[in-house]
Amino acid sequence: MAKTATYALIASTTGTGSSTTISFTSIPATYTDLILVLNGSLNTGNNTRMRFNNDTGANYSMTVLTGDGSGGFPAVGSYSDSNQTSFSYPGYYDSSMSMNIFHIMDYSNATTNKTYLQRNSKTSNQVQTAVGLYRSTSAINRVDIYTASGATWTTATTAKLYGIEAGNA
Amino acid sequence: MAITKISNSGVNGSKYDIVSADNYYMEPIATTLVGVGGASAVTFSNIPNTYKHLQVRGIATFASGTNAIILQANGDTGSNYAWHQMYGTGSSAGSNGATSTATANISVASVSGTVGVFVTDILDYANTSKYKTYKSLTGYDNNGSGVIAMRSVLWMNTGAVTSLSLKFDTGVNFAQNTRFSLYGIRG
Repeated sequence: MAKTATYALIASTTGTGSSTTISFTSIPATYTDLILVLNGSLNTGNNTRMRFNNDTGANYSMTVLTGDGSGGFPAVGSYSDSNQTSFSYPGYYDSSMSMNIFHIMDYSNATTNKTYLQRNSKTSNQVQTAVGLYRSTSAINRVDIYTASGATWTTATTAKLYGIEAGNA
Repeated sequence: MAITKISNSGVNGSKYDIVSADNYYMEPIATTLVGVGGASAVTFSNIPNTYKHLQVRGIATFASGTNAIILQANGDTGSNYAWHQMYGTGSSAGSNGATSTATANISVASVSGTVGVFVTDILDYANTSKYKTYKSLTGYDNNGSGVIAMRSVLWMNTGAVTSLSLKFDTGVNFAQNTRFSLYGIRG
């Protein structure tokens, strides 16, 4: 009987202390959804971004729900962006550990645009959840997470990409 | 019966290798992919009671209107559900809910031209001593607008969940490329 791999680890990587980018390339098209778990920190505070397929076009947008109990931002608020050249998430990271979990739905289909769901917990900043849209019908075979202004991922950073395989249709 | 352990205990010589038989803690149970003709509802039937929790993952497409996905257990269309949510629309955030309702929405109401997605966990679904709770992360984005929400749903019935039915609250059909997948989580 063939093994059914669900929530299978596709790839795992850690921060190097000198790299600004975490990349997953050559993602196989054999799963139904992807789950990306990023738990990490930066050497200094910086915004982080995410791109699919190394696509630098204005094909990204998001709707976000956020909560921050410390002021300087609405205690509970929501915002959206449009026509961006990357997702504005995982968002702001600094030297304290934060976590993001992305569910990238139906990533390998070549018919629909791609949508993901996200939850993140930033210990120094906010708790957030978001939905993102990548306006491309191409299968996703690459994911890059990078810092906006040159901050580097610490060696305590881990990033794992999992494949979720659906049962028989 | 699933093979969960292989051992060479009691075997003479070194003819057999020890093989690691993984225990899969999350297993796919079934998937429905809607074809060109569309579908008014999708039902997962005869759900085994051998898992601890269930997870339903899905994307939904449709031709028109603004539609949210209802998830009903065991064919129960009565007012035996309650729900609450926190949501963001891109311009405002809020929360709301309902009690004793037949519309147990697990997704936000997506607008025409968008794809609505959700990941829903149904906790302790086979337990016959408690009501059942679903928790759902759901949303859609429309390049400048959208909705993201965290929802919880209560099914006020102590029966084990043996079937799950999904349909739009408006009666609109699921269109081609809609996909719903059911998983069992062992514990």
